[in-house]
Amino acid sequence: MIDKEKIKLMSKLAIYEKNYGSIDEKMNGYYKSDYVYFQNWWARISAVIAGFFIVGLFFLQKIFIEKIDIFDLNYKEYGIRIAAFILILMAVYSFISSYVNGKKYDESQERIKQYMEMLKQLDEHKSLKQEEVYKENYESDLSNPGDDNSFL
Amino acid sequence: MNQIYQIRETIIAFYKSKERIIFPVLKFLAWFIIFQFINIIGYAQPLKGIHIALLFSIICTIISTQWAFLLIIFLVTTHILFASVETAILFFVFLMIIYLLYIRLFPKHSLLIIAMVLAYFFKLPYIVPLFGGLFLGPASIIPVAIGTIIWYFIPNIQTIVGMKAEEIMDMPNNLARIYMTVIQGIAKNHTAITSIIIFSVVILVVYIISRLAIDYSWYIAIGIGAGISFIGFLLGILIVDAEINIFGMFFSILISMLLMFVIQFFHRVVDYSRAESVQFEDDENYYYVKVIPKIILEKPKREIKRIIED
Repeated sequence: MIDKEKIKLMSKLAIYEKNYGSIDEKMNGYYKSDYVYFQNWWARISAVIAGFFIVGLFFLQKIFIEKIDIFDLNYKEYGIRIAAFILILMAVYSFISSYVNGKKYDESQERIKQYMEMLKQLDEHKSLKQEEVYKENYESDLSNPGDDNSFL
Repeated sequence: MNQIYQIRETIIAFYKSKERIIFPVLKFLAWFIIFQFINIIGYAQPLKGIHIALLFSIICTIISTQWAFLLIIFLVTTHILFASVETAILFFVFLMIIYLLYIRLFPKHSLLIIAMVLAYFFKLPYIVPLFGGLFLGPASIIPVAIGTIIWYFIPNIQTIVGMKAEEIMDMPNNLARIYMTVIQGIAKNHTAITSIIIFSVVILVVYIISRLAIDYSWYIAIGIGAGISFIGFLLGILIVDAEINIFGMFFSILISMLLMFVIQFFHRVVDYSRAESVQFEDDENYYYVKVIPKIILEKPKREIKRIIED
């Protein structure tokens, strides 16, 4: 006999595992702060690479269009400006990344919570079924009036 | 009206039952159009065959959006490399900046960049800001702006590719010249800048109106958004001489508006969870289950007429 309620619950669990299982499991391996911190590093690395591309384009214009002599450049001033630009870019991207990844983590936790709830329901359903089976097999025998328990 | 609701239910029910086939096919078709479009404007003869477009489309249907964008960057750069090394380097740098600063962080929203370019290709660019404002919110301003810039820049590629260095030593100078042409081409393109401003306003207005607690707010938002597009571009033509055909724009906005009404009418399909096939087992059995979500749509209210005999 197929237990329809059990199949429904197990199907929902299987769908979750198929679509989000591995992603959520990976995320759940971290605390929120650790996950966001780890993801922020990737955002910062991306921002630094993009920042250097932009700086490269800036120098391309300075050297080949404005014909600035590279030996006459005020390296200290340019160095400070570039460092400030890269740092600001990193800070902005850390902020955006914190928001985006924090939200992602919260969504993942919400999904896990629902998953655990479903697991609990499945457990409860199983024990309920086991109880029913037990009652059917044993309790009916105990209530049999033909039983002779006199030897007890 | 009752019949229209019934038709909608029939279409949605059909879509849901065949979703496992329809969704990947639509995804594949969208990627195929994109790669064919790249082929049309591309320069690399070995990459221009339909089999390449088919191959890349199949790959992009399977992989994630982030990787699909990297594949597009690789393909576009390779095409331009066949015509001009300097332009290819510059394009690679520009596209990588967009990828690192935006696409990597917002891969789903970035699909609007491609949607915008494709919408321009099909002469329906006004539909994307309406869609963005309605379903994605103000965050869609950035991808719409990037898509608009890319589209208005495409005609300049021909000119830029023609700017070749005579000697290898002259390449950095040429690279700088191309860079300046690109920057000036974007900065001086009034049509592109006007379009970005109007699209941004449309996105914001559509977003705000669609969230108001009034009846049919989504439909009103589409109508007002289309109206703002028309008035905005009309002003753009009059004030900054934007190169836009008034009649073409009018019909394009009208079609975009109608299409958006249809999309809005069916949008609940997007909201619902997908049909799934799953396998699992317990102590007694193996289960192979196909799950098709039920769709409960709001049915029109039934009118009751009271006929009272005198």
